[in-house]
Amino acid sequence: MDSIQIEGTPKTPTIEFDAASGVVSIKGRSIPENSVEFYKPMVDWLDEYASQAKEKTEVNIQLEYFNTSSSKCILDVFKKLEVIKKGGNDVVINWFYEEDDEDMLEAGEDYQSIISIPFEMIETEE
Amino acid sequence: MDFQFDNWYQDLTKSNVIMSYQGEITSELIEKTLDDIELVLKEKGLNKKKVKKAYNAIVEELQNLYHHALNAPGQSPDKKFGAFCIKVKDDIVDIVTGNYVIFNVVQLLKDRMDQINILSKEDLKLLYKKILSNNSFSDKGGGGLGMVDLAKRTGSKLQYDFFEFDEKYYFFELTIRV
Repeated sequence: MDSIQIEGTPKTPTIEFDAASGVVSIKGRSIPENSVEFYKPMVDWLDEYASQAKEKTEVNIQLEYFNTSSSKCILDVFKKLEVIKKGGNDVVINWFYEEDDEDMLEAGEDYQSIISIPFEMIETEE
Repeated sequence: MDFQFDNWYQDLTKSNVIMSYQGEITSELIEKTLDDIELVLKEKGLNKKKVKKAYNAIVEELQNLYHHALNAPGQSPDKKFGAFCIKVKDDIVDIVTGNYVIFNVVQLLKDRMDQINILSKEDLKLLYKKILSNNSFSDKGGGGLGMVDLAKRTGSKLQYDFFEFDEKYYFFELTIRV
């Protein structure tokens, strides 16, 4: 299956969804006005990937900013990953946050409490 | 006295303004403002954490404006009309938005904001997670997640005011302090 590679913009994150390696990354800023439209290809991709998921799927989320409408879409991505996990494959989410960015750490913890996938909280230097 | 937009805007932009705007609200305007404002906040000497918090709140408030602003009464219905003003004084950032709303949403908005304003930090967190995980909502947001998120992230109350314009329209002013 094809990978997804989308270059980041000031409003949308860099996306790398690689079926061959099982690595899924969302990095940068996610503040589009129409997040549902932006995230739809990734959500669809995960649906297809679910049937051929790698033994381990590694998810890297490294966001500087995200708006409310993105927060729902990111949850949709996590819910798709949760299905993969429930299907017996290993999934881990690495949630990166800049040191001192308590809001971003807290956002990760919020997701962690909603989603049944292990989260790794990783502090990065500014 | 009936609401006069020009007087309101003049009062609003009297002091400590780092950016302000009134007129048509478009996606391009929001994009340009968000591109510029981060640098302007940094130039005011605010620390990185404060800039980040303020930027987040500005994104939410301006996008709220974009999604919910109506036309100005008597003006073309295709043109969303609104105003915003970002002020900085002594390390405190105030983000003010203003737009017209139809009279019948005023009570709903007031109730929602009052409910959010009495919640503790912990309760806001719980409510945020509840809305996030339970509600299906459109690109416009909905479910009040944006307002809850603003209150949760900034730790401040939603300060609002409604001014009667005529029997159909009210003017809604919202201030978030960071």
